[in-house]
Amino acid sequence: MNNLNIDKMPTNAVNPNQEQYDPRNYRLKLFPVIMAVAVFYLSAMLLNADGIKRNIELMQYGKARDVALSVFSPIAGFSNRLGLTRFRTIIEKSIGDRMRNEKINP
Amino acid sequence: MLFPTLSFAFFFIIVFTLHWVLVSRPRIWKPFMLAASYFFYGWWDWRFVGLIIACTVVSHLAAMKMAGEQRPSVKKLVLTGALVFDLGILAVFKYYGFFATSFNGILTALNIQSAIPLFSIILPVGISFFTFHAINYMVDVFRGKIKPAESLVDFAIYMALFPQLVAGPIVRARQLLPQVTHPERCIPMDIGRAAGLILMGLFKKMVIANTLATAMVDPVFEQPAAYGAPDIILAIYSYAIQIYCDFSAYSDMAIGFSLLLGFDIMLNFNAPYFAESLQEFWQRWHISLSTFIRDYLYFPMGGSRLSEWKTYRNLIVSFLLAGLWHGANWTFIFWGLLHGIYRAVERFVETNILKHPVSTPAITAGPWGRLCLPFIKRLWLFHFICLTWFFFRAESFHDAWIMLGRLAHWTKPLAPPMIIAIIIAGFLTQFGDGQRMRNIWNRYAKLHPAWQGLLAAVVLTVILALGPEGVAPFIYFQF
Repeated sequence: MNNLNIDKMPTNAVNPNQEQYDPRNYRLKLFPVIMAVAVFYLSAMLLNADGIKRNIELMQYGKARDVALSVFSPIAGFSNRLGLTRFRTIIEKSIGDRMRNEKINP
Repeated sequence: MLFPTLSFAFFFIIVFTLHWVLVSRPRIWKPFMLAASYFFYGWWDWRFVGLIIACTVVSHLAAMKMAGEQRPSVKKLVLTGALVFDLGILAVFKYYGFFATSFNGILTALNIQSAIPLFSIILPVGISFFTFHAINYMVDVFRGKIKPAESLVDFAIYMALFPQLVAGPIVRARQLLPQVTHPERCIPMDIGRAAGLILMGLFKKMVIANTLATAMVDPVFEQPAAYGAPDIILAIYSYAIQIYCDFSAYSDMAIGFSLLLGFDIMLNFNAPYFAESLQEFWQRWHISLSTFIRDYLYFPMGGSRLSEWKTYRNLIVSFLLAGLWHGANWTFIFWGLLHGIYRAVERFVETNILKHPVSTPAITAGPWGRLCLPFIKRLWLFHFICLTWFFFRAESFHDAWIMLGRLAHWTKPLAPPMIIAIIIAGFLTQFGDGQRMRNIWNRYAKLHPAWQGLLAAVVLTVILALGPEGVAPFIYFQF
């Protein structure tokens, strides 16, 4: 343990205390990250619409479930019509189900 | 709130958006981030938010008092009082039942009728982590290594920042406090690394750890007597990979989400099963805990500066307490003891035998020494670690001994062949630790943001399609 210095841990992240901080640079760096996150959320939602709907249906009965279902059912329907949910279904059927069902039995 | 859930996805997108909207106005950002972090913690049980707040207020007041005090004796008194308070919370919530049961066991053995009352106390999630945050802050202020936080809110955010709140890493105050004090200087950092760590973390947790747990580890540890040696061996290999994938997954995701918010927190795992010695293993496994124990326990006890025998004592005591930190059970203490004794023996061999001028060349010279010896050392160490995992995972010594006893019964293996493939895949995920994937992260970061988002969504879909339904809690939540 003796030679591990936590102040010199391997990381390539920029130290926010460094002098190089510049507000203009900051906005330029921020935009692509926000765009990437937005595209990620949108596409993940569409690709996994069936799975998300299944999760919502498993929620306790109540207002939260009703609201979530009313918001998400049209999205799931749209995604299904476009065939986007098939990608996940194919993987689930080909490998996922096998991984889920195989289990050691005495 | 668990990372790989719909509720967290919803929570994070709101916090992420508001964070970047408000970050240039720290006066608004700070209460917002604190409220978001408490909300994240309170999602599990609101009552325990009060515990973090109490721990935060007492620790900060103590730090302020120590910083303004010149007399060493008063500083020491304040530090001791605050440590007793913080460790007292930990002792009551985490260890009361354990100590009461153990003490009552001793009284019964001595035929004494009176007994300490037992209460059913709920263990607050992440209590060991946030008390260690408080301890490192106070001790560093006491030692003069850092100044106290500029305000209570700054310190409260450091204590409760949601990505690392419930299962670490145990980020040092001197690393994170300056970042939360001046959040306006944070920039979204290293998108390639952030996405890589989050996706790798999800893969490790959802596909590897959860599958191994449900398909192999849980059934075998529930009924060890029903299985023979091949299955017991596979079960312990599975557990070795499960616990690595489970815990390092949380750390990976914590670092990844922090990077997306512009915070840089320390690495916690660095391919631990590639270690050749136990010392190296602890430089790669739960780094934030091992360095914490080194800096706040091992060094203050004298470390290796005292006599040889006192060094061994310090090592064993440090590992014993590391074991106790993991859980209130004798099996965890025994696990720590095994590590401590092994490390003491390892140190004895390093300092007294391997440095001997005659023995060194014979062992390490030639191609044998260069190629085979490191491999054999890794294999040996991995099996020693697996041996100790029996005690770490078993509910009691009785169960652990049954499992070890079953190693003598060689029967036809019952485990599905898929388990071996998953163990190998889990072992290979260690290549994702540290900076080993830097080239892939850099390539990803050069893609157009839309492609970055789409690619990450496709990988997430594959992970969700492969993993078992539902999300099991992270193993380290209980610590």
